[in-house]
Amino acid sequence: MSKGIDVAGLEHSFRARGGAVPALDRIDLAIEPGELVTLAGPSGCGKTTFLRMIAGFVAPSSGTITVGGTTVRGPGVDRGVVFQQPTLYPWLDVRRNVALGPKLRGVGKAERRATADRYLSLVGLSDAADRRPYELSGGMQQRAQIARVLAGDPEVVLMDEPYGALDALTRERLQNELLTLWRETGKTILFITHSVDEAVFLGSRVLVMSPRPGRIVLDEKVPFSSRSLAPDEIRALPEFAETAARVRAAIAP
Amino acid sequence: MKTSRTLSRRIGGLAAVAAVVLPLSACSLGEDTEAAASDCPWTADESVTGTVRIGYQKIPNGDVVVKDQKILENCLPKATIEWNNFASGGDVVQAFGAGSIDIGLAGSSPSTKALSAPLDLPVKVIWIHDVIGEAESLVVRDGVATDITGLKGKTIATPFGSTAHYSLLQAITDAGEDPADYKLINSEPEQIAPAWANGDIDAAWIWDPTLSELEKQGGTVILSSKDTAEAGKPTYDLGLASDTFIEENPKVLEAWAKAQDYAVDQILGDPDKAAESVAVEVGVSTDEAKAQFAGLTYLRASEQATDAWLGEKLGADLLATAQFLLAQDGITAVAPAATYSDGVDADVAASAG
Amino acid sequence: MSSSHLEAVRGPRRWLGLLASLVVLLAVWSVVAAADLVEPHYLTPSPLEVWDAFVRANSHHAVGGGVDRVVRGEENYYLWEHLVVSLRRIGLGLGLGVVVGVPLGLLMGTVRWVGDLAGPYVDFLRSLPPLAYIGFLVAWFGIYDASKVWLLFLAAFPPITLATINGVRGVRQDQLNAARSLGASGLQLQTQVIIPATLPDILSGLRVAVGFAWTTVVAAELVNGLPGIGGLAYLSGTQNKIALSVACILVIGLTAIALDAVIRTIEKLVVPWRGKA
Ligand SMILES: Nc1ncnc2c1ncn2[C@@H]1O[C@H](COP(=O)(O)OP(=O)(O)OP(=O)(O)O)[C@@H](O)[C@H]1O
Ligand SMILES: [Mg+2]
Repeated sequence: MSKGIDVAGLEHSFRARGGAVPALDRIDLAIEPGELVTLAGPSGCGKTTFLRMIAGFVAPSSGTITVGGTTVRGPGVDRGVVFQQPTLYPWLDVRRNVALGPKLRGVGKAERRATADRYLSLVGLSDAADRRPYELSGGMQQRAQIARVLAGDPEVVLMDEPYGALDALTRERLQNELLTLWRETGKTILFITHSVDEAVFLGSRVLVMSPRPGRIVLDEKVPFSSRSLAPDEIRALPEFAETAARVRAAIAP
Repeated sequence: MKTSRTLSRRIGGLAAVAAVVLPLSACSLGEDTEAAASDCPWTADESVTGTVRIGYQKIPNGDVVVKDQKILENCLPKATIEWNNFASGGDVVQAFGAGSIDIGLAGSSPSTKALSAPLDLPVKVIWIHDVIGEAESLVVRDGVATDITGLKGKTIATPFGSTAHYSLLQAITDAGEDPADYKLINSEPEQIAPAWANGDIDAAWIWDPTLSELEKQGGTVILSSKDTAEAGKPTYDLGLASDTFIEENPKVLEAWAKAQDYAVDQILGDPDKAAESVAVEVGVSTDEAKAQFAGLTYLRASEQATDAWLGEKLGADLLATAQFLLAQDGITAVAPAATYSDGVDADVAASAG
Repeated sequence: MSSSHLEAVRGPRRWLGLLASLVVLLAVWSVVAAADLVEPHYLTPSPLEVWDAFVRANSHHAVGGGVDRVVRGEENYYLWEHLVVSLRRIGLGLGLGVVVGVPLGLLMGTVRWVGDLAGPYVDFLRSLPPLAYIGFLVAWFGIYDASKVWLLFLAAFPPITLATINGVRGVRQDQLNAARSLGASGLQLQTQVIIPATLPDILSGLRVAVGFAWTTVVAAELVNGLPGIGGLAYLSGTQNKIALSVACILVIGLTAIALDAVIRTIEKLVVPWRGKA
């Protein structure tokens, strides 16, 4: 099951030393269940702030957010968060990190171990299950983090530039893994990225946020993530380049 | 595959280590030294049970003889005798204040403190372990002075609040001088010898082993507590017991006094044997122990129970000590004379006489 | 792999260096002792005299000084037994310090107003030298082990509490957020995230506390401290048996170093991620 996200009249400003800093400005948005929405925008425009509000870590100055019809008042198991910086727990090995969600919900030892192993193999980390997070590379940590979120089986997955720090090759592999996952699980995904190519390639819908205070300046359905072509062929399509040009123009007018 | 071990397993491992170590440290330590055990010199009292908590000091008198020869243990075989060592009479008085001991040894100055405000402890003097003579003396650096008047303006070290401090001030006053004209400094006994070697002090009123050490380093004794005693201001090492203990344990105290009397008898009649116990307990040679016997006066039970000592005189001496302590800020008020005469209980000594 | 390889090379050389410095130290000490720079002589025992005192204190030995009695160690306890008694007191004080200090630190770190309320008192206690209040403790808890353990506890728990608070306040906000998003309740947040994340700080606090406990145990054993290594060091000082005093001090120092090494090993085992994550 997946849930949709409804954002109505969302505004937010941070209280800072020089007074109020407006970060988000009147955002109204409806994300359908099962959509893979990518969100791009210049640095500091408010993407992370937006995501943290949906996650329930920060309360908005005004406006409401509902997920699956329920108003967001704090963090919840229905929304899994993949952080920009991996937040794996160094006192647990990778398997136990991934099994944490089921453990917190009281799932038995054998069952949660099996769940963890299933998602570890899904992200290609079976060999690293017994290692500690700090013994993994950055990309492996990101994959472990994704496995942990998936093992928690949330209806909505919120991902904040998860591939930002990765090299191009790893990045492309993980993008393909994400698409496979999305198609298999049908989860609602909000994916923040700096990269126009990534936004267009992954998203079933692309959003662009304007510089501070952030508002949605482009909202477009995109077909490529549903196409069964090889990634190279998709990127070679002329429509791909056209969409990318529109998104780029929206980010830096 | 170290890394596969989890936190909880590691903590479990620690707990296992602790489980091995703790019982080891919980086992009882120490062991009774054999050889010294002689049977009770009179008929042991098997009716006494319970624990007797004694505070003692390493002073060459009957108390350590009783301890070393296990006289109390042998004569009260069903009771548990606990010997706690203290470095000073002040510590013993503190232990009485905390209710941690039943019987203890302290000099006449700390004993007076115990009976006076602000402490007002419910204790009584029940025994005179010794009258201090040349055991506490004024040693002077060679050539500095030949009498106490000559020491004016000089630095004299002594542990403040001690019997030696009392004797020193009495000696100064008896010589018609003002203590304010002397530089008196407070020092722990073990720090006096280094200070002397360093040239920091000119004289000290102190006891062994520091006293002998200073003489070895060329010091001369010009006065002693024997002199101040003869001038009417004696100092003592006294046995104290708490009021409730005196009330509830007459049998223990009778055995205790008999044991002390037996030890005094031995010091006077068989000093070689007593010196061996003193050597073991105080950490000196037998020759040194015998030399130290000469610096103290020991009284048999029958003698100390009379009016010349516990019966009457000691109460007056404690009152005089209290007046001295008041002048030294050692106590906040001198109690009425009755407090000090009532603070002495001659019955215990009499019961052993 | 590479660091252990390095250690393997450096190890023997380091030990050789240590050994050489030890030899030099003992030589200088012997010369100073023989030269009698400090008067009186008994204040500067030679290494051999100290070794003798150490051996005597750990064996049945003749009293000497004209007495042909054989006694056990010092004050009827072997030196190692004095040490074990002191260690037991330290262990109890530290144990209580952990049992009280860690939960208190967790509470003060998580619940702001408790931290604000109790913080100044813990700070105040930490800044007090233990000698300043041993008298009170004796008056309240007697002259036996209770007052000593109390003193050690009071010395040990503030650094543990303060380190724990520090640890709690230093937990990354997103590590907490991540657990909440995975469904952690308040209690689970404590047991699954805050406590393990704070463990490195707790162990640092424990190390500080152990050091503090050693300096405190000698103070604690000034009054009725026998058996006890601090009490023995003090008593031998008052009896001018400085060689024994020095032996006690050396044993205290070496044991303290060994204890610290034990805690560092525990750190390596329990918080291997320290400095890595
Ligand atoms: N806690 C805060 N207090 C004050 N201002 C904040 C806070 N968090 C964010 N901001 C400000 O809000 C604005 C939006 O920040 P946000 O982190 O959402 O940007 P972003 O779009 O995620 O940027 P990037 O792409 O660089 O991650 C920024 O100008 C930032 O300085
Ligand atoms: Mg961001």
